[in-house]
Amino acid sequence: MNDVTDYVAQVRTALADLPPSARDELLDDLPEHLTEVAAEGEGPLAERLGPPAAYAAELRAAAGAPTVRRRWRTVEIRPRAAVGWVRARLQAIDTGTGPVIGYQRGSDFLRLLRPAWWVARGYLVALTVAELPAHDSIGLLPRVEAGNSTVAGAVLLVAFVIGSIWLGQREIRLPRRYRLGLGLGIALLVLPGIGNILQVDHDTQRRDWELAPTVVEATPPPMPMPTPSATG
Amino acid sequence: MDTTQLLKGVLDLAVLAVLKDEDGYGYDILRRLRAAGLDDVGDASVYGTLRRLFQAGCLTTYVVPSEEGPHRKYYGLNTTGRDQLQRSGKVWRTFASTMDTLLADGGMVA
Repeated sequence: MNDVTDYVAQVRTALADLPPSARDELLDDLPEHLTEVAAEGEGPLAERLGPPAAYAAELRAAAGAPTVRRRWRTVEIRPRAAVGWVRARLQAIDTGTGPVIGYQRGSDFLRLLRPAWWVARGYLVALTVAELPAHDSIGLLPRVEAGNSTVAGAVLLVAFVIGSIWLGQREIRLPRRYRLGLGLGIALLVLPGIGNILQVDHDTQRRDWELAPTVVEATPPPMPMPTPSATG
Repeated sequence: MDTTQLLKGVLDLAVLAVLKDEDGYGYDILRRLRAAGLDDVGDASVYGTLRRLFQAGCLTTYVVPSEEGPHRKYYGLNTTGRDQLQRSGKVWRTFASTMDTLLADGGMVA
């Protein structure tokens, strides 16, 4: 049943540019209809009926509803339609990139990367927190200010990574608005960490560049030119 | 020749025709069309056509509760639908015989 709800939601999204009443009329008993279709055969709906976007296009054509192109001009002045359009685009990218990397959808792969992201953000937040008190000890590992302690930094790192994983497993179940707030908070904590890494990269580049002139200076000038002060 | 292109013009008529003798629900109608030889017909096309014919006032609908599985929405022809079927049917027969004659004259039919 979940498959049906999911499929209907995606068809609805693809028809987001239609006036709400027309769309509701069109999709009135689609859930029941697709439940019927699902009950009659094996396999996910997307495999049997094609991608939801294509289904929506066929439905649009058969029902005589306006096509996307004809309504294109009004999209810009209707924020809801614009959001729907963007969502439909993203979905197209999602289903489009999937086969390229060997997954049904691109997001299927990203979902697998979730724990990796939890570890990464734990590290980044630890970096941010370690660098908070002073800006002079910039490095790629979090260090605690008191005595520039790497051990305390490592404890901090492990603690934040574990905390991040713990949070990651629970945040999926949080209501949407809490997740939005949490995401914003995490972004604020992660960004300075990323900034820190960029700074380290920048400094490394600069150091290499500064080393070069030193080498040149060390070699004696090939031909000393006589200067007026030397002759006089 | 691509059948899907031809189908676009006559799917209304085909749907009305399979509902002439017996009411049916969405998937059932699709199955009847395919059984009749319209293999290429898409699920979304049939569902969309049903919605449009209903909007146009050609069909009546009623829900039949089912003990196992989902409730089914049945579609049936009303008077407008039957009139439409008769008129469109006439137009189609004339058109089809014109095409037959044309193809026969052109030596395309053995």
